[in-house]
Amino acid sequence: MEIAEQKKGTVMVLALTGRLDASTAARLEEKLLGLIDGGETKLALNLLQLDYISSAGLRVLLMAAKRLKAVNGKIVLLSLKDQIREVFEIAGFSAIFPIFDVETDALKSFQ
Amino acid sequence: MRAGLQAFRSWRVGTKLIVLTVPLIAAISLVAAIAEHQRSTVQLREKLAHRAKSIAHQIMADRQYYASVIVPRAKELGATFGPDYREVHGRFPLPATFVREVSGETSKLRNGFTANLISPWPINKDKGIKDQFQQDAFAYLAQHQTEQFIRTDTLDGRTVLRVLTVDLAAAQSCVNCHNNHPQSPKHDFKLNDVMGGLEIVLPMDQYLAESRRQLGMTVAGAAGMCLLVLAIVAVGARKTVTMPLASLEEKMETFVGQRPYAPGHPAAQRSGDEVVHITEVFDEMKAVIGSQQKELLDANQLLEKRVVERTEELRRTMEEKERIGSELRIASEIQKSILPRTFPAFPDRDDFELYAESIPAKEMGGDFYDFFLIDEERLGLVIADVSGKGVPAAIFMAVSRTMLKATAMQGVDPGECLRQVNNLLCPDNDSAMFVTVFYAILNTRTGELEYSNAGHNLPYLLSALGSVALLDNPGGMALGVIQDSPYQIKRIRLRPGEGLLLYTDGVTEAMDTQGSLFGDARLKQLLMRIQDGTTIEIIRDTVSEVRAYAAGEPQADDITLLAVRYLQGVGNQASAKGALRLVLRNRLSELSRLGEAIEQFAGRHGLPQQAVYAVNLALDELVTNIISYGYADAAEHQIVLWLSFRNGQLRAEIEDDGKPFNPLEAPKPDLSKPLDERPIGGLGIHLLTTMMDGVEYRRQEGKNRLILTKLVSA
Repeated sequence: MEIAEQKKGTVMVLALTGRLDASTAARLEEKLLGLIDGGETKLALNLLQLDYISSAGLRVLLMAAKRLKAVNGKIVLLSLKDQIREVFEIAGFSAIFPIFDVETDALKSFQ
Repeated sequence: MRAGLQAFRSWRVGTKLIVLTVPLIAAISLVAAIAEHQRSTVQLREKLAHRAKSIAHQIMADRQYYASVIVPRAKELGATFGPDYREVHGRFPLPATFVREVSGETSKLRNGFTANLISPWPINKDKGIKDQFQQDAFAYLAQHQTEQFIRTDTLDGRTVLRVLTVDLAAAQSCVNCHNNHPQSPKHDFKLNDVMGGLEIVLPMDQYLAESRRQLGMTVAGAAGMCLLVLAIVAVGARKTVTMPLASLEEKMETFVGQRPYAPGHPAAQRSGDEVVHITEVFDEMKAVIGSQQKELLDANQLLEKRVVERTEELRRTMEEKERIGSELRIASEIQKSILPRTFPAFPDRDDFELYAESIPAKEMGGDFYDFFLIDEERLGLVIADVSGKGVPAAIFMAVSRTMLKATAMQGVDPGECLRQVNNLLCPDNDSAMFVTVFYAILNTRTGELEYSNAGHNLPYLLSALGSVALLDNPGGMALGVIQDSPYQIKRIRLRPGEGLLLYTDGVTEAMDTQGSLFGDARLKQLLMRIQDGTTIEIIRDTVSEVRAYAAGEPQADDITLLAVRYLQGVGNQASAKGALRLVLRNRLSELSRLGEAIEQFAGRHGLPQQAVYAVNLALDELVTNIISYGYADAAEHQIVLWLSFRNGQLRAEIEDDGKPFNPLEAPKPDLSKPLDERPIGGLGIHLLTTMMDGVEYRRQEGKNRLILTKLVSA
């Protein structure tokens, strides 16, 4: 899995590529918690290139969301593939995470 | 008169006190004596160890001097060196020979000591490691070169102290000589390497005997003191108590009119009797204490000896067990590894599919299967069972398998193949072992099956019409029994979709807790139920059914199965080609291998992306769970996955030897809770059960077995 980061205004956008499973989740966890500890409160994850996510990946997202909520921050997701979206549905994550199709909508949600 | 009675009573009390006190004093002296004895034994050991170290030091110093001063000087004068210096003129002893000669190690152990140079890599074979002590010593000293290895031991029936000091390569000449010596088993010594060791043996027994004699004297002294005290008390009692008692008795007799007390009354016992009685008690006590002391001493010595013996015995047994156990495990591993175990075995063939498995019983057995393409369209199929068990059976198996395959690959028909192999096995078969073999050749283009049988169970034909029947028996004797035995062949033609199940009697003769057999009828019934599945499914289900039947009874015989299905002209959906067996280690890094294998499998079958994702996710969650929570130890474990697809159903089976875990019993997460209340974790199993159409769990033979099915619309 690869993580690319880009700051757009006040929002930190991370683009994930590849597989997010138990063997790669720790890397994302480290990245997200590092950003949050560094003061980032607005995070958007672009999952367009993410092929696979397992519960280990969901766990990291949930943890980040909880940490951000405690500091009045927010994490949003965008451009989910169908299979990824299905996993989010089954896990009941669609109700917890704001999900957008395009980046502009995602960025707007922070204003 | 009253005063007399009072004195009498207090005398009785005094007697009791004395009777109680004397053994107490005796016991204290005894404990003190034994403690002293043990202390002196420890001291002795230390003293002797010190002496041994000094001796070793002295010998090594002598040799150092000899090797560094005398040897070079002698060489300058043209001398040669060798153990045969007595025979050869101008030859001197080697440094090691010098040490041996000086310390006179060849003499038997007397009251002095023996010194002995030994080595794990001896030039002289007599100087190799001979016993447990030396083995342990070198193992220990390899890590602790500056220390000595010391142990009390018994040599030639004598208690001795053995001390081993390492002998390092002190000079380059030592290294060169050993490395270049033709009899040296090791040629890569370097300066300061351990080359061997000097063992000093000191007798301990005469010192121990002395210490025991002292103990005996201490005990005897204590007992004597006790007796003396008792005697004094007794004499004193006679004057102060017994005399007044006599006058009391007289007065009482006068008072009661010469009438003596009734027998049994304490006052009826006369003074003389009391003393006699007390003396008797003393004597008795002396004897009892003496014998108890001796018993205690003997028991203590015996116990010490027993503990030493048992500890040693146990250690040896454990080591031996471990060694044999690990050798057998390795042998069994080798035996298993020579059978083809990669599935799909022929990933690019869609005209047949096959799967085989052999589950050895605890002891190594002689079952085997084999399959090989003789040419483009002839597939050889073998199943066999060697008589007997253990290492001989395994060796016989390896030999028969090689002969069979080599003969079969020449392209001869099954009857001729068995005839030739039988004639190869018969002549040198001194151990009278034999092997039953079923061998068939399937023409993967026409479906023609040609087979011959050497006393093996006949395979089941899994017909396309849903019936299950045994193949006709062509007759034939097991291989290795009678030279020139004939082997007939029979032929049938498989229709597309039909298959065969080859098996050994470990399947049908599996026993339940009552000792009754699984049997042919049960196997046939089972096959009728499951014969439509993939070959993996048929075999995995049969194994599982046999295990469920055995209900934990230990597996007495190897269970070996081979299933094949003829698929020429069968559509892709029903083909089950390339069914997969994948072995994963319990490391999270294996998840990517799992993902790749699933992708490949899906590619072969043209499965839709959504189904691939679902299966990948389900297996990923399960395997992650097993790896993360399944094992209490840090050892490497295997997680085995079987994956097959046939008739629109994808089937995955996962077997692991972790803690029992039934995903169907895992609590369902509450998905309606808001972010703050959602627990982190617990989603994986939910994803698994939701994504799959069927989840079946069994715990068998200490393993979790989970079967997942997913219906896939093409």
